[in-house]
Amino acid sequence: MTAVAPLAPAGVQAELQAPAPPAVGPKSRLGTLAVPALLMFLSFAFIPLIGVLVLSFTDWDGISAIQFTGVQSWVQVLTDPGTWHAVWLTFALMILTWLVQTPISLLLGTFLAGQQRYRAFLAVLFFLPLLMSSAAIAIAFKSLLDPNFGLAAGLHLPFLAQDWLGNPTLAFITVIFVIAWQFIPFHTLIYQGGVRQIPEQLYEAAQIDGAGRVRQFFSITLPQLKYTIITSSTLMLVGSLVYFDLIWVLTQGGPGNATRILALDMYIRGFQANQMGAASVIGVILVVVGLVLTLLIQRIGGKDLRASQMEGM
Amino acid sequence: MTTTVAPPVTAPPTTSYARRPVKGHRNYLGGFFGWVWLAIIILPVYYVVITSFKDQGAYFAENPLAPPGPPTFTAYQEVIEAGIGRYFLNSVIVTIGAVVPLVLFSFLASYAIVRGDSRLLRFSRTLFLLGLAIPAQATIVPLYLIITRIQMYDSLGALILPYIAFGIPLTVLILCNFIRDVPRELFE
Repeated sequence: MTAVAPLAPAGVQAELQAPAPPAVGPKSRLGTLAVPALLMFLSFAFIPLIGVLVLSFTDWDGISAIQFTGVQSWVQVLTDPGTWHAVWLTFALMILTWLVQTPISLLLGTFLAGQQRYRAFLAVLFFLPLLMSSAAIAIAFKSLLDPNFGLAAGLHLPFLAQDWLGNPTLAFITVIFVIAWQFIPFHTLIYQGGVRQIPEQLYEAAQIDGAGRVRQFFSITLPQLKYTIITSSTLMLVGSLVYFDLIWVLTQGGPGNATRILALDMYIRGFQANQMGAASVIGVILVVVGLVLTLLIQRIGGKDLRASQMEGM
Repeated sequence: MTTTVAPPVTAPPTTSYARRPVKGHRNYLGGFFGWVWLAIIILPVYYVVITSFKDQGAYFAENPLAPPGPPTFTAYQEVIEAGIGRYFLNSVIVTIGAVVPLVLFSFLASYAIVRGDSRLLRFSRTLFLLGLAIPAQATIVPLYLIITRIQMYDSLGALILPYIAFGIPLTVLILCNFIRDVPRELFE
């Protein structure tokens, strides 16, 4: 259950904020039921959130006393070109992983929504990556992509013998590929559910009108999946802020800083360079990006988002 | 999934799973890419499984994609001797220790949020919503500070407590949707 928390499905906001029905039982007692969850969340999620803001105005090496130094850490981080490189990489990764994952998941989801026996068989195998942890996936790919002992040697295909994780451009592409490998199954699952909820009559009508398979996909399937696409995209975009473990095991942010996205930058600054103040500044930036992104997607999704809820999940 | 306040904008969900009948031409292109994708998915999994039955020498000498000549269990023996039992137990403790309180707390809170309407509950609702948009990893520095201060550094509890906290928003959201589906009459 790593990193589930930040994944906010679109439409969630509207859903939870819908006016609560009047209480049946004694209202005062009901409130106490929420106390354990509230306390846990406040202590280990909300207070750290405030803490990250406070610590961003300090200088702390992780061991000795915390010293307030005003905006010094902010100046240090914001004037460091490395930070802006990390911001650039984070957004590049976010957009590219979305562009790679969405069409493939959409097509696979539509394909698997069919009831043919062989598709059901494929579906079971397609979801295998969901059972593996990020670290295990990263280790498997690391040795599989080894130029000397990996895939290239196994298939006798010399062009596969690239230094996949040693060349900056290739390393970035490899990271995108492995992320896609890990997360496409999940989004395929969402789309499969979404397609199965499309009323059958729409397709029958289209067939009578003589629409072909491609035409049906673009005129029926795609528009009907609007909310599913929004949900899946929110999960993908906000989730991309925390692709930490996979990249950490795969490249450790390298070669150089070719794959050092914000989450890794924060970890390296905080727990390797012992600059907790600077790491907190990055933390604040991550939180702000996450919040803005969620609000933005909700806004783009429009008011109808309420109808989407967690459609297809 | 749940009852909505707004009139349904989309077509009502039908549960007719009888898919498009396979009439006319078959979808050869879709089928082709389906099998190609299967190869991409299965290859690393296959690689991990066969490599686990090779020893160090075979790993470097044999074709990496060929099944192991004589399968050996030396790798398994090695990890067992290296104490994988303890690591496995750690995983089990962390999972159970996090999931059981997580579901319990979230269920109580979801029930209250759906049924009640006090200021405290409205506050919780807003707070959990906020939690959904926060990348959990952004808070590791203060979490580290809190965990060291309450003397829990280097313990399994240090993992369990934040897992529970950051799991609450999504779990509450899902449970709220389910509880809202339970007819009010049943409670009366």
